[in-house]
Amino acid sequence: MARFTSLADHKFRIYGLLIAVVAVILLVTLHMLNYQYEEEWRDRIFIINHFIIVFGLYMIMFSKEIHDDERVQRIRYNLLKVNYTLTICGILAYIAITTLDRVTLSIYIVFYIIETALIIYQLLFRYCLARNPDWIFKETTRNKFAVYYVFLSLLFLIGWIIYVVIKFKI
Amino acid sequence: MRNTIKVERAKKNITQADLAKAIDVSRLTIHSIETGKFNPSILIALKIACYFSITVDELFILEETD
Repeated sequence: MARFTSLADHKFRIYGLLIAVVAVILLVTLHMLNYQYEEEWRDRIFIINHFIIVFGLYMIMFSKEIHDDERVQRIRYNLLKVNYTLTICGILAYIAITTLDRVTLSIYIVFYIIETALIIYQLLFRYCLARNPDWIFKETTRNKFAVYYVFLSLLFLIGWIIYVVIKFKI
Repeated sequence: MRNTIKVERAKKNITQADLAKAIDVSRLTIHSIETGKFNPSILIALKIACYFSITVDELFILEETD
């Protein structure tokens, strides 16, 4: 009996890449031509275009490699954590900035954050597959970074309190 | 944890690619196991041990630091 897998076949990497590349070319072309079909349609077309890019990049991300053994799965698992952290923190930080500084929330920036995180994931994934760096496998070496996480979180918290005190004159 | 995969390979006179093909993993996976970067699952450890007709504890040796 075939084992269940949430990943698509490795051929889907090529389909995902094609979809993403075509969507990027289309987006760049529309920007270069300064596309103006109808005012309310402009944003819709650009947003759909970004959706297609994200869809293509996710398709690459959730496709198997040709030799999808447990080393590849370990690399994927560790880098997915990085990708989700980058995406969630990026979007939350952007929403926080727009709320506090009264800046209009732009859906394009949200798309850029998601796309950047996905591209970083792809670059790191390919690098790790080719180079087998120690840090991707060894939990013990990465645990050293726990101190930096705590330090950065505290720094962020202190900065946040200072910002709130200055901004809202508490 | 250290292992004797390289020694066993030399005894059998096979390459990393041959071993990888025999147990259905990539050559880089064998390389990363050999160099101690990656600790394989029990399944792969058993497959390698079976391939060399030895036991898992002869193939993988625990060290003081483990």
